[in-house]
Amino acid sequence: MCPENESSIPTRRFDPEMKYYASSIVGTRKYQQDSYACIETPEGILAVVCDGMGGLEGGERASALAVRTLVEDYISGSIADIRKFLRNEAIRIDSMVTKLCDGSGRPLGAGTTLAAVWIDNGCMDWISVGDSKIYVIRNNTIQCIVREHNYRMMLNDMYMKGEITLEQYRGEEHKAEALISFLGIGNVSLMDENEAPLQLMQGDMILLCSDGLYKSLSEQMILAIISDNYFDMQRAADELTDAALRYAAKGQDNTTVIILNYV
Amino acid sequence: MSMEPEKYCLSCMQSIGAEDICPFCGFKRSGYTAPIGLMKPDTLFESRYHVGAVRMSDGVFSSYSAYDKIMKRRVTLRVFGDGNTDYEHFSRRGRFLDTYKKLALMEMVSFPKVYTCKAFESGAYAVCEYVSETTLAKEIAGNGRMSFEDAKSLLLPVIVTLKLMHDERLVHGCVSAEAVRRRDKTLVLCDASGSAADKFAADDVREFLRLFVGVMYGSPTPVPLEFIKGAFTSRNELSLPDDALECFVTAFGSSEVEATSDFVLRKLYHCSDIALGVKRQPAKPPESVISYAVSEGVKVKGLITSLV
Repeated sequence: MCPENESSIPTRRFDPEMKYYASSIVGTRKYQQDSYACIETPEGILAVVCDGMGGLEGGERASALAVRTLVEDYISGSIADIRKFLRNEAIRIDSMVTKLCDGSGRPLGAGTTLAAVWIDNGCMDWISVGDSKIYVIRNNTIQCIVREHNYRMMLNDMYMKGEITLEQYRGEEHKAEALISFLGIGNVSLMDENEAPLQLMQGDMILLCSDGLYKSLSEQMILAIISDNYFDMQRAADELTDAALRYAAKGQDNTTVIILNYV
Repeated sequence: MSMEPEKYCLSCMQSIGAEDICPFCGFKRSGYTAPIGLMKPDTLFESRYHVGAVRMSDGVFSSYSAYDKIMKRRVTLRVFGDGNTDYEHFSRRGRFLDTYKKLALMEMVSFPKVYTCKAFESGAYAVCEYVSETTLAKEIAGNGRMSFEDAKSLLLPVIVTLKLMHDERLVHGCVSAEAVRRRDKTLVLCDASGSAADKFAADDVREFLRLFVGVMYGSPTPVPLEFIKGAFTSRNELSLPDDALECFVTAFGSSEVEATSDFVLRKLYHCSDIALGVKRQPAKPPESVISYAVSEGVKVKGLITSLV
């Protein structure tokens, strides 16, 4: 709940002005390890994108488990504090994913990212673990509101603090894409959450995506595609995944986008 | 609008460095002058599109070769602007935008992909897939008449595109052998203006479309009623405009009478027999997930998901 609305609106109510669209492609990979859902109830809208990793079917199972668990818990429970709910869900799903086993009972060693937003009454809360992203598009500008939880983030931090030299930084850069936080890592602690809900403005768009999108397209391209398809946001979602495939320098990873449009 | 330093071929929009004559298409930069009143080459339109040469212009609608600096691709820029700001101008601008929004969503194989269409202060523009300068008219002029079979296989998808446009109550507005261009092994219909309802263009276009599609399908084209002003009741009552005759010769290597005979004898394909590509369907929630949600007693207003 937005602080400014807290006293005037005692209960949460559904905002009828939010519309949502999704598109997902396998890319050039053999398996689809992305999962997503966007569910709308009188309580609000929950949107989630998960990008699984590990083994033949491990990533697929991990991301599907995360999405299903979050959606089921969302619709079956009464949520008093959404931020607490999202944080607890991340911890609970992390534990569940670590326990995933194959047919013979051996641990799958799977993991998944999680990028989720919850929107109610024009206010947005969010959580992110891993390198899936959440963007806010407002007044023809695009801003990512979460970090990529990968080794590069750690290297940047260490370099900025003077803990490593530029030479050491470059020596480690080949491992920069490795995730340092994801669901399934066990005792997950590094998460990006909002400190206060974001008050949305009419015309705002929220974009959730797996890394397949932003590793193929620049933020300027993403913004251009969404702006170009202002007349049909489902087409915008489809064009984003199509363009990710078309502009990919090498093979294209699984790519999933959800667009939430506050109209 | 401002000038950009980067040098592109004004015709094919490939980057050509310091060259004056394009190594890709042979176009000579220094030999080109933009027609009066139209955008000069190297103009940066809407802070995004590097403008090349004019491809066609009729005073109201102009097409340019251009380069999209953000998406890093060649495009065709179709600009509407008649220099007026009266009611009629805004009405036509609205029709132009409506036409291109519909065309964008139709995603037809024989129509250039429409990337976007937007209004600007004194007009509107559409950004479409770049298609080569090679028009059907030029190709025929260069190679002589093509066989009926070749013409049939090339033109049928174009005609189906027209049919699909008509089904959506759109009339191309500028159909001609110049507007049909080559894209690899196929032909595409370019330069739609969305101006079919305009007084100056309506008659010839309507008759042309009625004849062209009418002969192919053996029935009159479903032109929207509001465009029909004469006493046309069947294609037999239509006269044959010059550009339609040219297109028949181009399409069939024969006159209208011979073409009709070809239609009867060779049993041309109906549009429904030709592959048109598959439009992507919006994501829909699997029934199982909906069932789950509903069974929990929670009112789910909407759901899209990958879960099965």
